[in-house]
Amino acid sequence: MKKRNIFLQLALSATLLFSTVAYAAEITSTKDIPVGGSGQMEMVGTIEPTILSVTMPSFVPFNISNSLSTQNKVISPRINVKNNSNVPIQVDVAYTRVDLSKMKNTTWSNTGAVNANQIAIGLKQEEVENEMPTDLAHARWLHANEDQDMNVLILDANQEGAMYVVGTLGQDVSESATFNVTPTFVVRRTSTPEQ
Amino acid sequence: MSKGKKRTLIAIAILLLMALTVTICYFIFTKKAEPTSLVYDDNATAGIMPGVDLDQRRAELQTLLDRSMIAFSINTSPVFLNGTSEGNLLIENPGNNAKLLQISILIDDTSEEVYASKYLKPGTYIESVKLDKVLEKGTYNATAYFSAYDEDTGEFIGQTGAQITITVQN
Repeated sequence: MKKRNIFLQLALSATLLFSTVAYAAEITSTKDIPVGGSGQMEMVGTIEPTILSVTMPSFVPFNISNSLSTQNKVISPRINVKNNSNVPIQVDVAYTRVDLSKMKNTTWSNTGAVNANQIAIGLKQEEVENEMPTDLAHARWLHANEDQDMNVLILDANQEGAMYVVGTLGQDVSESATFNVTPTFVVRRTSTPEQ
Repeated sequence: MSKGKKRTLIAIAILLLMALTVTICYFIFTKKAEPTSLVYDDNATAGIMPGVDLDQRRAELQTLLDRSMIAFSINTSPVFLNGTSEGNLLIENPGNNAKLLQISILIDDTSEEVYASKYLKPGTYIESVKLDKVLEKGTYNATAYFSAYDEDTGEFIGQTGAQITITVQN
């Protein structure tokens, strides 16, 4: 009986001993700081790069004609821009290459106001979904062959937006010839999203 | 009717028939010979006349624009340890693009090209690059231009840009 008690006590002691060791090992791995003592904890931070991710057109075709009865004389597709980034962006026109060499006696207007022999082309943010603008209010006018940095659209993170080509032309501008307008869109990260 | 008169009438009828045949043949063959050299008007413009069908014209333009849509990704602030080391540019041509992309980076102040990639197939990306020009320590505003090309023909479609800030640490 005495031997049996001693054996049981030893077995119990061994169980407790291993349990304690296991517990101690777990505490050691999280760097337990004793009460009244001091310790250092290393915190490692990694800076994640900000990725600009955008879907936008690289070519914008349009038609212009005096036969349109509206103030806006341009037939434009919907220029859709999608910000896939987690940061707000702005879309600017950095430069516009204009070639009017096939248009006799025709010049470009940077302001939207045209005389009989002038053409003006700009961009306008969508006001009614899927509807081409009929007027030229709030249009941003493209400057021919010079640096411009003109903002045309601001999008919040993961937001989608649209704009249209708008324009007008003087009554004496020939409609049988073609001309080329090539704006270069530049996307920038911005900190002030506009609603 | 005498025999002589009968012969004369038959002869006249034959002559009239022959004359009629010759006239018909003349009109038929001369009209066919006319359009051998077609001259097209230089002043004509291909497509639907503006104002005829606005919705159809707009749909055609939309198709052209949709084909030119490009998606791209880039790190807005790549960092280079020094002028000759690699930096984390992280440029991507996503798999849904269906276009080849070529990227060139120009410093805004000088318009100097400091990097030009070769063509990137859709569904590929470049994580780190070495610049083609050695830049001194500093921060540079630059624009990365993404030029899109047709995947099958290699034809240039269009271009768009993204502003970035390059940092060279040493």
